[in-house]
Amino acid sequence: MVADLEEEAAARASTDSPAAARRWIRAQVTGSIGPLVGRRLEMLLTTLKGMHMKAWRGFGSDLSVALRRLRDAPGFSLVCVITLALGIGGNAGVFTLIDRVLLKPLPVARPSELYRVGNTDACCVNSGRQGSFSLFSYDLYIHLRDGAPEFGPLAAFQANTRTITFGRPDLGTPPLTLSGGFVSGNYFQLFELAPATGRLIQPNDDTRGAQTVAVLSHTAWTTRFAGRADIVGRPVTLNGITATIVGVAPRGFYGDTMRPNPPEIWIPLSSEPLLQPAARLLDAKPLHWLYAIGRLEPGTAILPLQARLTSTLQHWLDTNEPTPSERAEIPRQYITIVSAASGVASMQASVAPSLRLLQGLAAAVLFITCANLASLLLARAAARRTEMATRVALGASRARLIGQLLIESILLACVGGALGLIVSFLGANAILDLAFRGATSVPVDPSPSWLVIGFVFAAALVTGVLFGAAPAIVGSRSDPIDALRGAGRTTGDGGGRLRSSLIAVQVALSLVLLTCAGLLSRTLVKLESQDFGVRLDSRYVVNLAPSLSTVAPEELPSLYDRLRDRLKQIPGVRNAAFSLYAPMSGDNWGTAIVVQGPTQIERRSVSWNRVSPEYFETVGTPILRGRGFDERDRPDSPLVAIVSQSFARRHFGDTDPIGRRIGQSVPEIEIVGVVGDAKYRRAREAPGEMLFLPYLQVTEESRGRAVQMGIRLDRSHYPQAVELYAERSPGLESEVRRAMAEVDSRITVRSMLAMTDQVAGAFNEDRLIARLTGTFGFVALMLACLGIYGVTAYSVTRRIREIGVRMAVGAQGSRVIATIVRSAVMQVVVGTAFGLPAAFLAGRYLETRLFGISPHDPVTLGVSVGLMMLSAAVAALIPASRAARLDPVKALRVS
Amino acid sequence: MAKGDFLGEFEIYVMLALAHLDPDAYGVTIRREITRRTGREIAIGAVYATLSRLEEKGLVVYTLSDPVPVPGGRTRKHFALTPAGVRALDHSTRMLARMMQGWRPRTQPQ
Repeated sequence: MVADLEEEAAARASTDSPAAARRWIRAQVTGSIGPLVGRRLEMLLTTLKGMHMKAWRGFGSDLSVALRRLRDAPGFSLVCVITLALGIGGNAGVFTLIDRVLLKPLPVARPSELYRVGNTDACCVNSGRQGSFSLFSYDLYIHLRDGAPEFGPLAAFQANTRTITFGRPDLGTPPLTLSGGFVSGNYFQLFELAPATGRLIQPNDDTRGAQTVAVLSHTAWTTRFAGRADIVGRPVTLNGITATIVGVAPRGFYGDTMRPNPPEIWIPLSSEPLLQPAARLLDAKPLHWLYAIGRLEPGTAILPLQARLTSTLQHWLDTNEPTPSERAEIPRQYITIVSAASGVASMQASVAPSLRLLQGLAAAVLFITCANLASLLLARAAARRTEMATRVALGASRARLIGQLLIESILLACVGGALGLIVSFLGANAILDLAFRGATSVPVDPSPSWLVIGFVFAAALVTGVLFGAAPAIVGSRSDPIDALRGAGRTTGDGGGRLRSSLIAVQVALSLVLLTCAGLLSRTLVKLESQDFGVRLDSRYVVNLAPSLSTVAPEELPSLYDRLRDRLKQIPGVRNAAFSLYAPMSGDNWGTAIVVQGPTQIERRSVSWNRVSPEYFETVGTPILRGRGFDERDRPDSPLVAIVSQSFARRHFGDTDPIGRRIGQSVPEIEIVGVVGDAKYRRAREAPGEMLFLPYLQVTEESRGRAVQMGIRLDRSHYPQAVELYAERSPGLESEVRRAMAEVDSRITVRSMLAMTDQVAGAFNEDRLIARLTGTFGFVALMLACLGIYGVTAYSVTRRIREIGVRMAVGAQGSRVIATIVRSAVMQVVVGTAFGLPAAFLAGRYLETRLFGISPHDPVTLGVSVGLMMLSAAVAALIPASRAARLDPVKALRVS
Repeated sequence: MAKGDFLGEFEIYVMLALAHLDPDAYGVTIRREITRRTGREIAIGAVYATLSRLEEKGLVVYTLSDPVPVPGGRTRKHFALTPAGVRALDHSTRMLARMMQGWRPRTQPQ
């Protein structure tokens, strides 16, 4: 361009004046600057765009190379993806449950403003002193509510759910049994909910004399009434009382407490005496049965409020006729206010340790997954050294090689993660099914939340980088000279030690998981096969709804007689009896008793039960001394009792308890028999001392309680369980239901269970944890074996010439196998050396979950180590025997 | 021809100059040709910037001539239209002609 200007200038100089020529050149130069600079910028932009495109093309080609690589090795890819899916899926499944159960607040408005008065899980009805008061009688609740205006509303609700018989007189369909909850009128106001249809319960519904109304849960509305809007406003009967369904609660609202079978219907507290006349609680001042939750303005000082409520509580206790001993206890009664963002978090508190344990196990499995994949990829990277070396020789940069390998492993991790999401959904569903076996509805949604999806992909990505990085770095450290030497001839083996230590880590972790699985499985076996003191085979329990409470007391004896006679007529039924509650049903009634000793009267607290004649024969508890209850024990005959063996030993030592007198408040009852100990409540503890009373004899205590509650007969006289000793037959349950309906239509059967199922139900959580731990242990063992197999197979491939030489000079096949297997077992030995102390620690951590087995049980540890060794030997044997079958000539030809 | 591949006015000038001058088109002659026909003084930089852009688009190519046979004689960049350049010029001028049908310029160029 400058030359052009010179040429022009020269031409101009001959025609124009020098000044004009100079002016022209100046104009040319200044006029050129703009276009040229603009053009430069234009070119710069184009170059930048081109570089960007090239980078993407580079990534795209890396990706397609990675896909081709994985497709070329389908077995390897499949193993990687499956192990990842299990590792990531297991984690995400457990995380889903943690998110849904532990982290999620109640589905209500501004849950962080909710506070609960009281902090213990003291369900369900309590008449004594509680220390930290959490259950309140209605009268006490009113006092607390009025004494604490800080609470926006302070709502009260029944601690447990009640079975409500729901009738449709307009349709004449058979009644349904719903799980129901009694709540104060401001309950829905507290949560600030909007109804799905109709309206919710309002404060004026909760007044004496108001018409009984009820609100259905959304789940009950959709599952039981097909979501029909015309249920609202319909007259229905609740436990035989006419009521109106006024509306449906919003979708997702499961009440104040996360639990299986949450309330399906909410009824104002004021209707409680109408619906359960024999067991009414509303007016019983000394009976505490309500929990309370209120809303506090953000920034409300909790401690002064707590102190004021405590003094309100103590004042209330003081004015409600305490006995001198009770009065002495009053200063030790107090109130604690805790956050209720998750409602009454009793389930959360009880399942949290198990979920945390599962999370630990799942994390260990994920770790093994990563280590396993790292060793697989490492073996593969080593096998691809020639390829890497060639690429380096051709000028590929190290960064590009590492990038290529990272893309491969991240790709695997993402595919594995996507599958893991499916596994997590199935897994969370299966865990919920197992955990709440028998529950008709569980307010936990197992579908993964965004949080879980994020977690899964973060886990997949971290895993990808984690197990991709090491092989990538080792793989890219290839010396180009190797490319010229050919595979199988090199002796240097980068990553050999890394691989061995990865195997050792896997073995150690697998051993820990196997030991945990062994300990928990053996615990489950010991729990289920223990002697409960009752027979489980051919025994059945029929649970009754408390609908008999409308039967007049004088009708009861003949009703019970007819029922027993009718049940015994069912073919296959050998015996039938009733009780207030059945063994291992989770129920327990406690009482203070007095025992008349030779010199003094002793007061103690024991568990007691009311049972019918032939009860012990029916459930299979042996009568050790004296007699069982029979037809002699009528309501008007002398009061008698039967005690358990541990009761007798405790109070009467070696002396004969028959004929001695005891009582609940006065020693009015004569002991006529001693029966074997049986477990009624806690399967993990020794059987408690039990006192049995005939089902219709009224003691001083039960008479007093009835008077106190304003009813004619204490509700302990209304049995809630029928026990049957019967042959198993398919039609038994329908026969039993028919027989009951024939005897009296007011009897409602809630459920019928084989005794084995009833007992098994007590171990749901133990079984769940044992099974999951077993699954995790199995997966860990499989992964470790896979790792050992992969690494051994790889080392056989590398040493193929060496093996060929050995065999050519006369080594036996068995020697070759032994050499290879020994080196694999050595890795396991190293892993075991680290794993055993860890397994010991894990056993210590599990100690509280174990039953009948030491946390350092040598058999479990021995079996785990043995299983690990055996599996490792088998995993190593496959490639080893392949090596031993080699034709030495062929082996030597391998290049 | 795809949208966005239309030639700019000045690009058309430069390409037409190439067509007229072939085979003697280089910086000086191109600039002169445009100045002669349009009567506008054109900066040489503008010519080169446009040539560079056209070259990038693949519409022109250049060949280096043998050095001019004088002492210190330089080599010249001789530009020529590529076949794609010819097509592009054809297209653009035809479009221009179509757009001009029925339009008569009311002033004569000075």
